Amino acid sequence: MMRLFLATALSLALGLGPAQAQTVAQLQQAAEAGQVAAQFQLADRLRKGEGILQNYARAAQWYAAAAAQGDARAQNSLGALYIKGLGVPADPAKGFALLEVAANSGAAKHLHDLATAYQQGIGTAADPARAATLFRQASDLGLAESTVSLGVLYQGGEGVTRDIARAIELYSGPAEAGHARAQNNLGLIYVRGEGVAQDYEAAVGWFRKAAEQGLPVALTNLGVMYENGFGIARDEAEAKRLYRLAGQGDAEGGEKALHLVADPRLLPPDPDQVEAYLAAANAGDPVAQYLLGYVLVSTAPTNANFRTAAKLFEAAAQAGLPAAMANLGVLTFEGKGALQDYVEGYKWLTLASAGGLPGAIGLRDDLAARMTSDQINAANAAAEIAWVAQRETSQ
Amino acid sequence: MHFNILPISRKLALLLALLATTGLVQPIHAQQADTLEPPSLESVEAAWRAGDFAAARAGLLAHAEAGVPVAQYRLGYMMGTASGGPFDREGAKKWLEAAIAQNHNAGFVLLARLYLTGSPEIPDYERAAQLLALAVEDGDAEAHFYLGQLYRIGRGVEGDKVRGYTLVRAAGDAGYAPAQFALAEMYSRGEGVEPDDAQASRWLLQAAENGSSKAQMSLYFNYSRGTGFPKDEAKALGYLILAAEGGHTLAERILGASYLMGEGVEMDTEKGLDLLRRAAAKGEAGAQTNLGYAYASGTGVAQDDAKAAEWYKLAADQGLTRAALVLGDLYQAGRGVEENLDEAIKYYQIATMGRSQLAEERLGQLILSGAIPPDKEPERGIIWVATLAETGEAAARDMLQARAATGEPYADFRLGLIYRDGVGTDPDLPRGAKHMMIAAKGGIVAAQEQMAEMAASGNGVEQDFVEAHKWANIAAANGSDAAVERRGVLADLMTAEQVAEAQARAKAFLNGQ
Repeated sequence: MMRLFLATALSLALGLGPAQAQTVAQLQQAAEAGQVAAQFQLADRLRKGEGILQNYARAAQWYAAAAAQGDARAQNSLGALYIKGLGVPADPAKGFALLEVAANSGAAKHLHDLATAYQQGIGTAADPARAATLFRQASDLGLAESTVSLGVLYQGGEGVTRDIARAIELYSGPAEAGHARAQNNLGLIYVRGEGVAQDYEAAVGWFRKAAEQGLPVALTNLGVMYENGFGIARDEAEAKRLYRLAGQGDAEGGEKALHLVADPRLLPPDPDQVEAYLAAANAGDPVAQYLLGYVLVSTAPTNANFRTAAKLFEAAAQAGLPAAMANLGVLTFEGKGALQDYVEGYKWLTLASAGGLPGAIGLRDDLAARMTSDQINAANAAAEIAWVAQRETSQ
Repeated sequence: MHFNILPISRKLALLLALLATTGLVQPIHAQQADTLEPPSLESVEAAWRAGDFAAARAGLLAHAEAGVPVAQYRLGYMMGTASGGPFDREGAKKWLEAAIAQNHNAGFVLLARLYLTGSPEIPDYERAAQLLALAVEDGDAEAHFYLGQLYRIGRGVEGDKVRGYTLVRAAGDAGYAPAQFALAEMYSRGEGVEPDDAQASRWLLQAAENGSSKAQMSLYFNYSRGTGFPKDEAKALGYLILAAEGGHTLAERILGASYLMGEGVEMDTEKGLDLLRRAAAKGEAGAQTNLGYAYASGTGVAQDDAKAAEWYKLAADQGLTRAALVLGDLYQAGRGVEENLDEAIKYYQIATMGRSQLAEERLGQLILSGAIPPDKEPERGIIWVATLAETGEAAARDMLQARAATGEPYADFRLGLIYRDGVGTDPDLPRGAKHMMIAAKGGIVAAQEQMAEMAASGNGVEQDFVEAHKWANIAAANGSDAAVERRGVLADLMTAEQVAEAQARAKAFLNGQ
C-alpha cells in the first residue's frame, strides 16, 4: 500500500508534463524573437496560469510587447489589467485608452468591452448613449452578450428612450439560444410585469433555465420564487439550497461549505483507509498526507482536524503535490486550521494550477473575487519564489 | 514529523451500551466440595433434581469427562451460573460446547452470554450470534433480545436496525422486560422503526410493570420533569421506590437522600441511611458523599468526623467535586483526619477539575499566604490567584499585578477582565484594555478573542474593524471557533482593502512572535 502511494507521488511531483513544458519553451523562444502571435499567446497563458505559473506582471509585459506591434487582442487584455491594477499599477485612464485603441480594430468583443467601460464609467466619464451605440455595433456583428447589454439599457432607459418591448425583443433571441443573463432578465420582466402581464410561472421557467447554467443571480431569483411560493409550490428547503448554491450561505449563520479539491488523477480519498494513510503519511508519503488530510476534514470537520489537515497538506505541498497545494490554499483562504491569509491561499492555488490540477484555476478565480489586486500581485510574487525554491530542491 | 488523530469509535460507545444492558455475570465464590469417589450418575441426577448443586457439581466431572452429554451440559451450566461452586467462565464454555457438539441442544443463551461478556478476552460475537440464532429457532425470548442487540450494533452479524427491532420486538411481546425497555428506546429514537412517542411510552410502562428498574427510573425522571408524561410527583415517587427496591443504585441514592433530608417524602433518617449505604457499597459516589454529610453533621447518626472523612474520601477518590472540596477542608483543618496540607491541596485540585470556584479560591489563599511556596506552585496557580482576586481580595489582585509586571501574560488577561468588567473592584476600562492588549500580544488566545470583541464594538479601545479582524484571525489560527465566526461577520462589513490590511497585520504579528 505504502509503495503504491509513493510511486504515484513521485510521478506527480514532477508537475508539468514534458509536452506542455516544451510548448511553453517554444512560445517563449518565438515571443522573444518578436512574433506577435506568440507574445499574445504566452501572455494569455501567463494570465490564466494553466500549466504555467500565473504571473500577471509577466503577462502584462508580453501583452505590452504585442500591443506595441498593434495586436488588438493584446491591447484589449492589457487595458483590462491596467483597469484592475493586476501586474501593473492600477491606471483606469490608461486602461480605457487601450480598450479604445483595441476597439478601433472593429472586433465585436473589443467594442463590447469599450461599451461596458462607457456604461460603468471606468477610466472615463459614464456615457450610456455612447455605450448603447457601441453595444449596437457589436450586437450587429452577432455578439449575443452585447445584444443583452443593449436590452439592459432599453429596459432601464439608460442612454436610450426606455422601451420594454424592445428590451424583450433583444433578450428573446439570446434567451432562446441559451444565454443565461438574457434568460434571467426576461424572468425579471415577467416578475415585475413590465410591459407584459405579470406571469410568475413564465418567470420561474426563465429563472430556472438560467439557474441551471449556474448564474448566481438567477439561483437567488429562483430561490426567492420558491421561498414565497410565486408561480411554484412554496418550498423553503429548496429556496435555501438555491441560496447556498448562489454562494450566499444562509442568513442565519450557515457557513458556506468548504470546497475541498480531490485530484481525479489519484486514488479517491477513502475514509476506511485512515490507518493505512496515517502510517504512510508518517513515513513521509505526500499522497498519503493529502489523502489523510482530505478524509479528516471531509468526515469530521473539527478545529483539531483542520489544524492537523493543514499541517498534512503543507508537508505534501512542500513536496510538490498539486492536490495538497490546492487544499492548503483552500484552508488558508478560509482560515481553517491556519491563519486566514488570502495572499498565501492564492499562492498555493496558483502553484496547484501550474501543476495542472483540474479545477484549481476555477477555484482560484472564484476566491480571487474577495481579494484586492495588490494581494493578487503579492501572491503572484510569492508563488514565483516558492516555485523557484521548489525546483532548486528537486534538482 | 508525526501526525496524530483522535480515534472516534461510535461502535465502541454502542458496544459499551450493550454490555451495560446485558449485565455481567457476577462470579460467586463458594467453597469447592471435597472430591471423593465419583458417585453414580443416578445419584447425581437426584442431587440436581433436588437443587443440591454442590453435590451435583462434585459428582459430575467424571461423567462429563467420560463424554456423557447431559453431564457436560449440567457441569457447564453450574460453572457458568456459579451454582454449587465458583463461577468458571472457561470451564463453563468448554463443557457447554462439548455438550452441544454431541447435539445436546440446551444452554445456547447461557453460552452466548459467556461469549458476549468474555472479559478480559475479546468477546466472541460471531460464536455468540450463532448460538443465539439456534436458541431463537427454539423460540427463546431472551435469545431474541440478545440477538436483536447484536443486529442493532452490528457485532457478530451484519448490522441491521430493522432486523434488530424485529427480534427485540418478539422478545418484548413475549414479556421480556429488558427487551421492552429497549423497544421504548427504539421507538423514541426511531431506530429500525418509525419513531412513535405513544409506542415508546407504552413499552416503557410495560417494562416498568415487568420489573425493569431502568424503565422505572426512566419513568421517575419523566414524571418528575413532565417530559413525555404529565408531571406527577406522586407517580414519580412510586416508580423511584420500585426502582430502589429492585436494587437500582441511582434510585437508592436519590430515594435515600430524600428520606434523609425529608424532601418529597416524610423524613425517615434510618430508611435514608439504609438506602444510601446500599448504593454507597456499590461505589456510588453521590451516596458516599451523602453519608459523609450525615456523619459530619450528625444527621440520623452520631456526629463522627473520622467516619465522615472516610466516606468523603471514597467519593473524592472517584473524582466527585463536592466531596473533594469538603475533604480538602477536612485535611486543612485536621478534622476527622490528621492535618495534612499536601492532601488538602491534592483534593482541592481534584475539585478544581470539576470547576469548583471555591476550591480555586482556597488554593489561591494558600498561595497568597505562602502555604504553597513559589517553588512548589504549579503552573495553574496563577488561575487560582486570579479567581481569588475576582472575589475582591485586594492582596490577590496585587499579586496578579506583580506577576503581570514580571511578564506572565495570563495575569494580564485576568486583570484585563477584572478591570474591564469591574469584577471585585471598580471598573477601569482603559486599564482593563491595556492589560488585555498585553495578554493578547503575549499569546493568550482568550485575550485575543477579547481584543477582537473589544475592537469590533469599541469597548475600551477605539472601534476598528481592521484591528478586530486581525485579532479574530490570530485567535482563529490558534484554534478558537468563536473567532472564526467573528472573523466571518466582520469580513462582511469590511471592504476588500480593509480585509487585506487586517490579514497583513495578522501575518506580521505572527511572524514577529
